[in-house]
Amino acid sequence: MGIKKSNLEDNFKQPVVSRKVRLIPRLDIKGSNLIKGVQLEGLRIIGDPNTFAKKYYEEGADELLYIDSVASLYGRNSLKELIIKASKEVFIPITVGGGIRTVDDAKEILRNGADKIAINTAVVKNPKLILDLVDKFGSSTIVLSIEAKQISINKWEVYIEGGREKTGIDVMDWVRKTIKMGVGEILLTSVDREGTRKGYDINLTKSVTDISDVPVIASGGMGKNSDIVSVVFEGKADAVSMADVIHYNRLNLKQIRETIIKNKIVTRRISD
Amino acid sequence: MKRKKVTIVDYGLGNLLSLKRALEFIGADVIISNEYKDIVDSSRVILPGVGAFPKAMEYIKNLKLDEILFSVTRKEKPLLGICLGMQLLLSESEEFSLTKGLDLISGKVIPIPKNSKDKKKLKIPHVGWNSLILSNNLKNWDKTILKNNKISDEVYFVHSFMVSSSDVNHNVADCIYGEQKITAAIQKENIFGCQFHPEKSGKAGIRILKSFLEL
Repeated sequence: MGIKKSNLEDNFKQPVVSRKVRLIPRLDIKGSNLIKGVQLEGLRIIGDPNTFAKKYYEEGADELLYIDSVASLYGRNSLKELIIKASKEVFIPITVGGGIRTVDDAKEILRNGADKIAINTAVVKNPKLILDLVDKFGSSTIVLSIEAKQISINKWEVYIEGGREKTGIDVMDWVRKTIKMGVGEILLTSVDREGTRKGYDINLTKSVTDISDVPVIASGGMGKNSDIVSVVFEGKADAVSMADVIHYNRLNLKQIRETIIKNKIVTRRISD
Repeated sequence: MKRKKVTIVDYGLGNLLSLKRALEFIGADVIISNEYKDIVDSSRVILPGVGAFPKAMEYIKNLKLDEILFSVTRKEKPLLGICLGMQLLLSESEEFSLTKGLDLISGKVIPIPKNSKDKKKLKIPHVGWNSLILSNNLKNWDKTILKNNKISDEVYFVHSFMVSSSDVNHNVADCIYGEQKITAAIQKENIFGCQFHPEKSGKAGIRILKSFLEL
């Protein structure tokens, strides 16, 4: 895939990154369908989520991410049944987000096959919930999901309700605060890039990884293999999530993994 | 092959659904139970576990599961401990306060050192994929629960404590985290342990569960 030569040369000057970069397909769900939008809006139905989940498992995904994209709107999470089904044929870690409001909601999801939960709206409204979740399930189970929208140069605002509602909270302030409260990982979605295939927001990712001592998953904008190379070397992402580029079969995970290994990114080696 | 009956020991902790599904995927009949009758009737027993060691031992003792496990393992029924379940097989653990374990394999459970030999701070818990390597005492995995796996197969870990067995001959596989060597799998006769989650480790993990059923 078209990685510019100049990019490659730049990357070789970077220090060797020793962490294993994870490839995480992101499944945005509405009702029982896999959907995809642009900038978290204009949602289109793609198909049955678990058909895609199984395909990605077979192709060597390191983890899967299920996000109920409209759960916040209706105040519920409809992913339970989907996760129960997925657990019959997908044997890698699964993170579930969207509409988790209470410790009991989280417990229900974790009992039914999920390994981690991703939380955004509920903890923006009530940050103390982070402490309760961490206390009950441990940091390694709690992923803070941030929907970030750029408001000026090197400044991003936290959005909630699936990218629909602004909060006035600065992303960097939010990252510092929630890491102190014990979140184990950050799922960082650029609302501006989401669904555009224009590449990850490198500045946003780098700004967050610079102040984060927990792993950061870059999300939103993956269009080609070199986007991963950039967000890993320049943005210092620990993991990358991708959606429509694989849902529409423009790339598949095996090719993506082979290409990033060629570009000196350390990642899991899959043996069949 | 006749379907193997497997009991996942239920002592109130953890996500047991994924493990049950993984075993069903490879053709086992799985029950989740803490009843003596079920455990005795099954041909394989799995001790799962997520959470803290002292709490787990408390549940196990209250349910008299320790005695049940002693009696079935004496009869050579294969037992597999996973994650905390593996740690519980050891003599004692330093998690919170020093707590006695099942002592089926002698040794102890200690925190993963925060500072690696190379002085770099390790992130604790150790979460993620890591490669399995042969323990020093072994030339290959032929007679172990990893007999169908390849060296450097990657599996999924989530833990803050690690096992240090008294007899290195019980070590089967390690992984390297930072510069720290961590015991990844142990085995003593019919008793087995995996620090990682085979049910979350893709095809490499499924292969391990299959080997356990085929022993």
